[in-house]
This record gives sequence, structure tokens and C-alpha cells, in this order.
Amino acid sequence: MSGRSSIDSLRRLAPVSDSDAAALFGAAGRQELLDGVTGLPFGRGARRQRTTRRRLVLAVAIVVLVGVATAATWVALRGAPARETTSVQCLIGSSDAIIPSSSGDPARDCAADYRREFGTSAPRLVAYDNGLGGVTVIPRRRKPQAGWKRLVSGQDVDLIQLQDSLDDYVAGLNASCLDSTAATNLTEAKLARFGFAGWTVKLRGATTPGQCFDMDIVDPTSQTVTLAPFGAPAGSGSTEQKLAAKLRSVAQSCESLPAAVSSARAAAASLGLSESAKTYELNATTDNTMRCASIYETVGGTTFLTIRGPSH
Amino acid sequence: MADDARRQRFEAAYRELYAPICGYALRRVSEPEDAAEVISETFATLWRRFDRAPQGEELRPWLFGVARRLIANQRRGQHRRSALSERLAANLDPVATAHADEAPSELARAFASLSDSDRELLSLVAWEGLTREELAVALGTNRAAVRLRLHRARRRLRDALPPTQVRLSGGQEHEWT
Repeated sequence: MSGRSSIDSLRRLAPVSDSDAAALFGAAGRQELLDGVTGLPFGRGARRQRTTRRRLVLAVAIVVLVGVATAATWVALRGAPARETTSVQCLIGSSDAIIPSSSGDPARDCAADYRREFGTSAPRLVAYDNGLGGVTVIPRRRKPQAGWKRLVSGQDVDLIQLQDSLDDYVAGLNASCLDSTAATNLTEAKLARFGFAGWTVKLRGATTPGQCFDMDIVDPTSQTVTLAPFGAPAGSGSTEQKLAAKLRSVAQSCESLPAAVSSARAAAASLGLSESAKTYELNATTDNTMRCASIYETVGGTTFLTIRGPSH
Repeated sequence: MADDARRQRFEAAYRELYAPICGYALRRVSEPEDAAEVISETFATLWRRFDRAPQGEELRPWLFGVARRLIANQRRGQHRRSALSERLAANLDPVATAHADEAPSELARAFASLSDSDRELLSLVAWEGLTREELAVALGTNRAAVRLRLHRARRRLRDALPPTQVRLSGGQEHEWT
């Protein structure tokens, strides 16, 4: 099937045309939506009032951008290790989710996400380099697609931590409105902290006064972190910033993993957040090479708390 | 930008892109109510970020990118219906939402057997009519990566078809532009 003929054939498979789709909601629906949308607050004020679900859009956008940034170079360098990503695609049954990595073990991260979503244990899972710039986890009994390569090692934990710490609301780019200079300095400090020598921090977008550089694209292949303004971080009155303020003191008190988890849960509960109601998710990973637990709060649809630290 | 001028420009964009975004959403989600959520949130995002959104030819693929990410969120199951989408869904035409039960063709079966990413890539070209440049904007990547991914997706589609369905053009594959 040639390129052109395959396009023409596929076009006929479209389940509904644009005009039929628009007609589905009628002229009234179209006008109501326009009125409703243009009645919303505009611009920065709107962002301060955004819901947690809208934060998910931003977070997923960032995850996608990060994935895409690495994908382009991965495709060019076929066979490069898939661990150079900070997200995982979990394809389990009818569930297809792209989640931020947390432990460095993609199968473990997907199993934990599956348990949270469905309340049951996931089947035995296997992680693959999907050849398209990412890691895909599927049940062991399922046949991988042609070209997928089974991962022989986990994802780079330092890279995951770098990504989390940049996206972080406690002490990262989302903790406050950072201009280009402050955001660059913070990023360079975090690169140094996680041992990424020789990396470059780049800026994208105009550096007009008042802009907050709160978006980062981490590209391990080119060893660059690109910072861009993506809007103002949520205001101090938002739940995510209130939680970050409480977690700041926990992060500074050098606690073990169990103590930090307990403190974080208490802080979340004091703000009415609940794991069972999925208003936040907590991922805890034991790392006995650490002296104190680290806590990262990232936001998107729900609030993600990633805590890593020593068992005692 | 003055409020009136902004609203006028937004309304012009809305008039142009409402049907394509409705089509994009309804071709990808099974429930019209979920499509209503994607459509309403896509335009709400455009409204909120209108001063920063790309203008001109880049706006359309950018908006597809927004809708695409919203659908990805829905598939994670982490969404709630907004008041906006409830209003849009309340106007649903129940007759028009009925689907015909047609036996899938070999091509439909092969297409369905592809990965989500391959299907999305091919349908962005075939259903939404995006050019390679527009695909790069919608997917947030570059033209070279788009070209390679398209080539591979097409090859996988071809491999998934029974031999009688494969029509090669002198052993060459045309470029999609």
C-alpha cells in the first residue's frame, strides 16, 4: 500500500466527519460553549484559580515534552538505553496510562499505579524500550510489539530525581515565580546536586519582566535543561502551595522514610487531601544510601508526592 | 490586548476550529460526553492562554496538541466533568450519537491492531489532514522525527494487512506531505 493510497483508505475509516461531529451538539451547544468559555477569567487570574485537573494538563504536557525531547534523539540513536526517560507508559488490560517515573523500576511504578487505580494487584509486568523514545510496560503474558527490546536495567534514578526536583513545588521551579536568572541558578544547583556535570541550561521564550520560568525540558541525550515560561505558578492560597509550605519544614527536618511519609500524610490530611479520594498520590521509595528523606511535590490532575529516603 | 479585540479574535478562531476539534475528539473517545469534556476544556485552555497561543497557521495543530493531551488525561481516568462540558453535552443529539454496526474491513482491523501512538500519528494525517510541519507542532517534536515515525507507522500498518490488501507502488513508498 503506497503512502497516498493508504491515507485515502484510512480517511474512509474515520468514524465521523467534522461537520457531523459539530452537528452532534447543535448550534445551541456551540453557542453555549462559546459563551461559557469567554465568560471564564482570562490569563493569569485564571491560572491562579485553576483546578487540580488543569494542573494535570500542564504536568502531562511537560511529561510529553520531556518524552518527545528524548524521543527525537532516541530515534536517531537506535538502541540507546531506554532508562534515559522520566516517564513510563503502562499498558495493562484496557488501561493505557503515561505516568511519571518514581522508583527507577518501570514495572514497579506501573504496578503501584495500577493498584491505586483499580484496587487490585497488577499481573506480572515487563518493561520494554518501545523504540519510539520511551519505556512501555505490559503484562508478562502479552506479546511485545515487533522492535521492542526488553529492558535489562531500570531507569536512571538520578535523572528521575532531577526531573522531580525541578518540577517540585516545595523547592523547585514551581515553589515561587522565578525569573530567568533565578531559574537558571536553581537548575544549575540541582544539576550539580544530582551529579550531572557538563550540562547546559538553556532558556526558551522572551524574558519579559514578571514572567515565571516554571517549565523544564530535561534532555539527557544533548545534556541540556531547557527552561521556559509556562505561566504563573499557583498562588500561595492554592492547596498545592499550602501543602508545599507544610512539606518544606518536613523536608528540612532530616527524617527517615517512614517518618517523612507519616509527616507528609498528616500535612495532606490537614488540608483535606485524601489518597483514597485520589486528591493526592504518595510514592515512597527506600534508599538507604540517603541520610535524610527527600520530598517532591508535583502537581497534575492530582498532587503527586514522591518521597525517597532511608528506612530508619 | 483590549478585551473586545481579544474576544473577537477568539471568536474567529472558535468559528474556524470548533468543527475540527469536535471531529478530533469524537473520533477518539467512545462516549460523546467525554468528547464534550475534551472540546470544552480545549477551548477553555485556548481562551486562558490566547495571548500566548500560536497565531496563524500554527494555532490549529497547537490546539490539536491540547486536545490530544486532554484525551490522554481522560484515559488515565483522572478527570471530572466541568460545568462547561455538562452544558455542551446537554445539547447532544441522541439520534446522531447512534452508531451503525458495520463489520470492520481488513484495513480497519489492521489499523486497530496498531499501537495507540501509531494510530494517533496516522489518524492525525488521514483524519485531521495535518501536514508534516503541523504534525511536528501538534506532537511537540521536529520534522525529522515526524518523518521517521510516520515511515515506521506506515510500515507497521502495511505489515498488519493481509497480503492481498497490500498494494505497493513499484516497491517504493511515497512520502506523506
